[in-house]
Amino acid sequence: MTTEFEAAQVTAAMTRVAAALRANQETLTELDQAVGDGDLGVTAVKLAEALETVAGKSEVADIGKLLMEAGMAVNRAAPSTMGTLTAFALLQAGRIATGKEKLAVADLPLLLNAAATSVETRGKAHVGDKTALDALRPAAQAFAAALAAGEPLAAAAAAMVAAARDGRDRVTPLRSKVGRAAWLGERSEGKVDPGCGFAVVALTAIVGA
Amino acid sequence: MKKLINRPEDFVSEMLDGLVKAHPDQLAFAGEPAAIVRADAPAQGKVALATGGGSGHLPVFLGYVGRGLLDGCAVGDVFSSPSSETMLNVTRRIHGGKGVVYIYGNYSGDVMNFDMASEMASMEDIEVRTVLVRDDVASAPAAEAARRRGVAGMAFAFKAAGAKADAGGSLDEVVAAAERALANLRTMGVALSPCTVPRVGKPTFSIGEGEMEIGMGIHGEPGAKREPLATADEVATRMAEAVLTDLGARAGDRVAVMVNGLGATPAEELYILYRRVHALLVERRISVHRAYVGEFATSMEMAGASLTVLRLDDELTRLLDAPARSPFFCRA
Repeated sequence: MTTEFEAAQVTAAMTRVAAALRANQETLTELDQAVGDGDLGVTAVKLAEALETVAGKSEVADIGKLLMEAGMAVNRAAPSTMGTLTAFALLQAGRIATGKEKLAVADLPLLLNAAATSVETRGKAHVGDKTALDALRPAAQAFAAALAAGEPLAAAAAAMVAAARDGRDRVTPLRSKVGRAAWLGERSEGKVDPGCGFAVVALTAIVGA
Repeated sequence: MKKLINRPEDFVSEMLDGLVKAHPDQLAFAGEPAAIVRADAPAQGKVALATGGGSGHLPVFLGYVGRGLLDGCAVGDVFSSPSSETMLNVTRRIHGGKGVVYIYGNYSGDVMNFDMASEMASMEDIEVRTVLVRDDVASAPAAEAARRRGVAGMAFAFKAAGAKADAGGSLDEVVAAAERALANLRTMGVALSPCTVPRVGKPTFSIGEGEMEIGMGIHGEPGAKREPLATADEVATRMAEAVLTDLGARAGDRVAVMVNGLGATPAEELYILYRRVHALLVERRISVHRAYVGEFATSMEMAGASLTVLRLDDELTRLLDAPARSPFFCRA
C-alpha cells in the first residue's frame, strides 16, 4: 500500500482526470444543456488539454508548485465557471502543499478539503444550493472520516467517491439556488446538477478506480 | 449545424481578427487576441471602463467599445468567461490614471474572473470598481433581484457610464451613473428557436414549432416557462407588463425603450412588437423619449426578442443623448 506520494503520482492523476473529462464530454454537455448554456463539455476538453500539457512538461518536484501551475494553466485555458472553480481549487490545494515534495496519506484530505472550501467561497455557494459543492463537501468529509477511523487508503478513497455520488443524487430532486441553473426555478428540480456531475467524474479519476 | 465558419475552434479568434481589420480606426488588440481596446487607448485623465464576457452576443460585449462608451473588453470563448489574465491586460492598457470601472453581466464565471483581475490590478495600484448588470426580471423574483442575470439592458448602463466618463466624471460619479441607469431599467425576453455553440455542434435546446420559451436568457439557458407560441401583441404585452410592474413605472414617467432581436428575428417583427409596446405606454400615460429597435444583445442565431425599459430623469436623459460612436452603436 502506498504511504507517500510524489509529484509523478500527482501528474499521473492529472492525466487520468484529463482522460476521464474527454471520455465524458458528451455527457457533461448534455447535463449542461438541460439547465445551463451547454458549454461544460467544451470546458472539460479545454481543461483536459491544460492538465495534459502541465503533466507532460512539468519538472517541478514541489507538489504545491505543480498544483498551482496546473491551476494557472486551467484558468488560462478554460475560464468558464466550472473551469475557474477548478482553477481556484487547484490553486488552494497548491497553497497547502507548497514546499512539499512528498505527501503523506494524512495530507490528502487536507488538500481535498481546501479545494472544497475554495469552491464554497469563490463560488459563493453553500451545501444544499445544488452546486459542485454538494458532491465535493461530502466527499471530503467521508474521506477524512474513513482515514481517521483507520481505514486503508483504498477503502477511504472508495468511500469518498461513493459520498460524491450520493451527494450528487441527494440534490438532484432539489431546486438549484446558485449559478445558471437557479434561473430555471422549479424546472431545475429532478435534473442532475452539471457541477456535481463534473465533480464525480474528476474525483473518480483522481482515485483511479 | 449550419454556420458560415471555418474550424469551430477558430470561431472567436477569426471573428476578432475580422472585426479589428474592419475597424482599425476604432479598435485594437491589447497585446493578445482576446483583449480588445479603443484604438486610441489609454484616454489619459479619463476614468476607463471595461467589460467582458463570452462571445456569441454581438454587439454585446465588445461592440460597445468606442468613444463615449467603453474603453476595453475581455473576450471569452462562446458563452464562456474570458480569463482573469485577459481582463488584467485590458485593464492595464486602458487605465488613464483615474481608475477603471468593470461593468458586466452577473454570471458566476465572469464574476470570479473579474474579481481576481481586480485583486491583481490593485496590486499594481490601479483602482478598480465593479458594477454588476442584473436586469432580467425573468431570472429571479424581485425579492431576489441580486441573483438576476444581465442581458440587453447593459447597453444602457454602458452608455450612461461612458457618457459620464467622457464628461470628466470621477470614478465615484461614473459608478453612480451606471448604477443609476441600472436601478431604473428592467428587461425580459422570449425565444422561439435555439442556438448552437460552434464547438458543441448541436442546439442548446429543442423547441417545438408551436412553442416559445418565456424568460429566455442570452445563452440559450432555458427560461422559466415553455408555452404555446402567442401573437406579437400578446408577447409584447406580457413582456411590457412584467417589466413595467417590476420597475414600478407610473403615469407621467418618461422612458427609453429597447426592443432587441436575439439574432434571427427580423427587424420587421421587432417593429411589430414595438408598435404594441408603444400603444401600451401611451395607454398608461408613459412618454417615450427615445426608442431603440434592432440588435443590441444577441444569442447568435436564436430567434426571439427582449424588451428593456429605462426610466429617465434629467441626468439619465443627458447621458443617453450624449454623443457616442462604436462600430455597432452611434449617437451623433
